[in-house]
Amino acid sequence: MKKQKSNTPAPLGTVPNGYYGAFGGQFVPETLYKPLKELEEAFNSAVSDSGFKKELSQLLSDYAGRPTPLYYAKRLSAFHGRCIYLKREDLNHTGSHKINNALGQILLARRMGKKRIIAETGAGQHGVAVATAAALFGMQCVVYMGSVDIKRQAVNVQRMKLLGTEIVPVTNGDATLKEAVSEAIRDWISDPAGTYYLIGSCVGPHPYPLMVRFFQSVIGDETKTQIMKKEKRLSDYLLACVGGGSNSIGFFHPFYKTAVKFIGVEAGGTGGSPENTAASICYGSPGVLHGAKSYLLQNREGQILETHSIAAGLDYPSVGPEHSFYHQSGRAKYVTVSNAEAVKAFERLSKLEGIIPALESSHALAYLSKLASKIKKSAIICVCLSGRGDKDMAIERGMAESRKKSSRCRT
Amino acid sequence: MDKMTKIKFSVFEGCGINAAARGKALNIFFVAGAPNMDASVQCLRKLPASGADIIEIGVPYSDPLADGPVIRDAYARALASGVTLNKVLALVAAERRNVPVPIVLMIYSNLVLHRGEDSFIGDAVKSGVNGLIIPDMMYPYTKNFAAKCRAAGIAFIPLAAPATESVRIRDISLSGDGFLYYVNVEGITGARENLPKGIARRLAKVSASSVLPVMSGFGISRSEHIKAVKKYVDGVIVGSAVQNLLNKGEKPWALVEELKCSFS
Ligand SMILES: Cc1ncc(COP(=O)(O)O)c(C=O)c1O
Repeated sequence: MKKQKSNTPAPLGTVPNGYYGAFGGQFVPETLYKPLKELEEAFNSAVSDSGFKKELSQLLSDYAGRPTPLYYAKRLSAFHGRCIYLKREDLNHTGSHKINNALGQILLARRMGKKRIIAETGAGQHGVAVATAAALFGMQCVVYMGSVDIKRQAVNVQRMKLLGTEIVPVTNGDATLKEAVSEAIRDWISDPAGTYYLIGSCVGPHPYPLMVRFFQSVIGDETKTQIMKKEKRLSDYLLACVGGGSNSIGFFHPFYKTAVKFIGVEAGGTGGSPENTAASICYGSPGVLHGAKSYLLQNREGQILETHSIAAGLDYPSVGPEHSFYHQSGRAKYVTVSNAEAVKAFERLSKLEGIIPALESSHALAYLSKLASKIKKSAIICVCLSGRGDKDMAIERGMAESRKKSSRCRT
Repeated sequence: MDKMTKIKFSVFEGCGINAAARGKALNIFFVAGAPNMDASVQCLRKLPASGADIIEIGVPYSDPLADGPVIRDAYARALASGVTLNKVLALVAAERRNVPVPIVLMIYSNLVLHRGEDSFIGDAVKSGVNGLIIPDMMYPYTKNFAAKCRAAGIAFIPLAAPATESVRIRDISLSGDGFLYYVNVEGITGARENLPKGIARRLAKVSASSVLPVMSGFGISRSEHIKAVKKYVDGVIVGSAVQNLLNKGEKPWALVEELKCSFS
């Protein structure tokens, strides 16, 4: 791996060839050897090119709306009895942090002369971000999406179509994010020279986890400046949800060498056993999926498990390799919250702050109920509010109705 | 490197038959347990007589990244009926003495790493497997693993692809044993109408760079395909065409006989 820029220090233990401690690497068919090498070279040259950096930062500010505010959530703070800030990634254009990475990578794709963009999506937030970036640059765009997710994230499907993107439904396996990633990789294997695979999280073979972290680090970089300005000190905790792990790694990484504590919140689903969750670190073990060694949910035989989370964007059986490294080295702590807890936090933030969060982000918010009372009164917590919840209205309504029904039964 | 040296590395050696002496090799792939274990037993017993010089068994996996619909369906069906790595190894162990040709396992990285590289290699050797193909384990990671295989007396069969440069082909082939699996197309497994343009020239180049015998696979399903490539390689690999018949409950013997004839 090339030397990192000074503002993005390499985590301790990072070794060459894209390893984070024992995790990462490139476990893909030989056909992807050359495109991955070209991608790595293009990325390295782009990030040391001031023209590239300037164009990206202009897009982020003028098009995506950055910097996003770091908002002191007064009523939520009062509720939990601790000082809570929200990093408002929901205020980005397209409604989540995914646009940071989509814009960065589409500039890279254009630099590499690629004409066709492919992507996978779960919640549809990454799909919408890529469809948006592709529209902006006039590129052809194909998004793979599990048929289950197409149903539960219908609004985002409509948005992508409007943006001119072709949606390919994926019906293999449990027809969610994992299968969508596999199909996207298969597409890429079939046209490695002409197609750019714009992956949506810090997963996949090297250099993807590094690239996605790089493009998402703007979240943590801004937070650092903003909290220093508001509090004259760093926060005690950073709290973020972890699906593939991109909003969290971008939030955490700029603080790697500080004393700030990192907490990654995984999807606990309905709980009980691993396949009722999507909590790769909390319920999984090391293995290889989609080209990287990392923690994953697998059975005794090493077959990958189907997962479950109410949040489509977290419904993935693995996690970025750098998180596995943070977990193993103890740099970050990983916890779970259940579907029900996430929905409660979703409703709470809506009522207390007038902010409707994404169900994914609601996982991070839900953990406040467990964390706040256990830490010192003066503690400051920054939560990454990775996206907004408009896409989740139907799911929330369903949960609320089934709750009403079951409470009627009880009385 | 001349052919004599190549053959010295060969997986064919010590497996009861010298396929090299019989001419070019026909490598037949099928998925263990698809449509059922009985079919796999029949394949092991009958494919050599139909003309298979090497048998390649796919170990069912939940996420076969390099595979197209035919093999994916077969894997899914086998997994649903409870086929496990242990059952595949037991199948090989039980049938080994009935099979007069090398048996090679095609297995994805996670199944190997989950068991642990050393335990897996030990178990494979014990059951009588002669070689391993791991489609998602890439050079140079493979170097260390291949060395362990060599020490254990099992061939680590490396892969090369259309964009793999000559120097890398040489390095990859040096690290492995048995043969070099050349992936004909940029793509996933599955029968195709035509092989890519310029395949003959490409195969000649690959053969010149490889220190191992070269077998050409992916997209080979018919006699014409074999006729188009046989001059430039030491053998071919046929998978989806055979598995497609098996998935439909049909017997592959006639197809394999026909494919074998296209070498002469
Ligand atoms: C709003 C939001 N937050 C979080 C995620 C999870 O992804 P990651 O862990 O990569 O940030 C998603 C994924 O779709 C999302 O849409």
